[in-house]
Amino acid sequence: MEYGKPEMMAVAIMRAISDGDIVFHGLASSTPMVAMKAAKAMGKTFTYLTLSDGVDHDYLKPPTVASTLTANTYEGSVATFGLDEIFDLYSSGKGDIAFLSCLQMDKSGRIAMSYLGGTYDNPKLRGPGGAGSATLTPVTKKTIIWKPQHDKRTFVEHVEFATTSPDVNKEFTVITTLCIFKKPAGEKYLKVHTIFPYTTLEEVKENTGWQIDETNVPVMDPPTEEELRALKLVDPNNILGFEFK
Amino acid sequence: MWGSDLVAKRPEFFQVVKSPFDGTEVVCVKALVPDYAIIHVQEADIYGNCRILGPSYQDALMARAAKKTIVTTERIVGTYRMKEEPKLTAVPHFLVEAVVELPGGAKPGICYPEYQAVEWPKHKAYQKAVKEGQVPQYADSMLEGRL
Amino acid sequence: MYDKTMSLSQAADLIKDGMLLAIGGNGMHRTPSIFSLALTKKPVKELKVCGAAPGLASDILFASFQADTAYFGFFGLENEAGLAPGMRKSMEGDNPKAKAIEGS
Repeated sequence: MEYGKPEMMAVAIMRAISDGDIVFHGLASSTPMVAMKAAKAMGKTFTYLTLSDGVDHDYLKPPTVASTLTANTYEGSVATFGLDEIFDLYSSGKGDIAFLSCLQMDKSGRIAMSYLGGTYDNPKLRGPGGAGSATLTPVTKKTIIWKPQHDKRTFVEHVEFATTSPDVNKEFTVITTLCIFKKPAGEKYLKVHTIFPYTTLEEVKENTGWQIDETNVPVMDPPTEEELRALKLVDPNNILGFEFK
Repeated sequence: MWGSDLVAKRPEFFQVVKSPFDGTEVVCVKALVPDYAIIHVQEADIYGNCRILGPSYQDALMARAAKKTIVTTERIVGTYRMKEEPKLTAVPHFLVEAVVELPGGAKPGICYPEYQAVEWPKHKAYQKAVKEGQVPQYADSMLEGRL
Repeated sequence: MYDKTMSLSQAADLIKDGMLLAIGGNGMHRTPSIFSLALTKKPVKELKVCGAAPGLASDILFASFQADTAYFGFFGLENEAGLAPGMRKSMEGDNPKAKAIEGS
């Protein structure tokens, strides 16, 4: 079966989830939504929380839009657990994974979500804001950023104003269209952890705004037939493609 | 909020203080007391008891935080609906000051399960109206017969 | 319990200059957008808006320049519906009309 960047990213997200994890994604999060549905279809037994209040919704009902606030992530749920309850849960250290995104990021994992260009008070573009990431990043066991682009406008040398940044003592992962960056617990900077099969370390370097010192990094296994079938099963309308247009 | 530049940027909203219990530093967030919460629900009775179907978001929390709540509702229902299953009343009457029967009150957006898709032509008209400074004219077109 | 029903216009008249409003719903979902449009017909100004994810109904009050402050975690309309155009119009550039207080 053929695959492209969307499928590879989704599969990287699926593989990051372990049985027993409590996992959250927020609004405007079509990529992790499809990947988490597919991870469910693969039989992973994790808890799916999101801001439609639904807990472990019926993942077989296909999404028709990229919005992650619709009835699609609510119907067939076994319980409701709202955003304020999710924040309480994660603040008490019980959240395993939060999938978050960014407008820009630097090598220390400083994330810009508040604005792009200009200054905080006189921004060129006022962003949507951290969407809970400033609250969740410091308290979540594993923060995972997904970003459906990999270029020098996104991964910059220095982020002037950090809407949030990682806790030095916690693992922090970034999944892009080309690779996975990881900041291990106890370390300060992101390192290239794995590259995807269709790229090279050279291409990653050319498209990253900070200096990459790694010289030899493993290549992630391509998606398996089973993983690609799971993605097709939960997403017949190709909502996964939305963020990659 | 540790690691966020927002804490230093907005001292009127965030302050770092020492916990009176063990001296560790904690970020304090100022409590907001809204004058009104304004929510749109699917069912309310004439007294302001509200049922929210589907995702509730933070509406009940807002109603509790605010001094009073204004409710617009897809329909007015008999109070017997609330008595059938009291737990499903998301906002009780004593938090509410006003109830407006307003079918379509969340348009051109979505109100589960009544209308589940954005009315795209009207949303595009809104985006255009914002760009061109024509919001009053857009409001007129949406408010016809509703005031 | 007493009857609290009133017209949209009467309810909008409860809102006074400078009030802080918590506006329900999220993004394009179940926000009291028609109530906000009714407010744009009133002379009320200097409103403050708060919510975890203020959506369309809040955006309208920035589009009409009746709100000057937003307390929020996420202020957008999500995916297909895009960024919040009224919020952006009043908060961007050299002479912004409104202030962002991001809470999360």
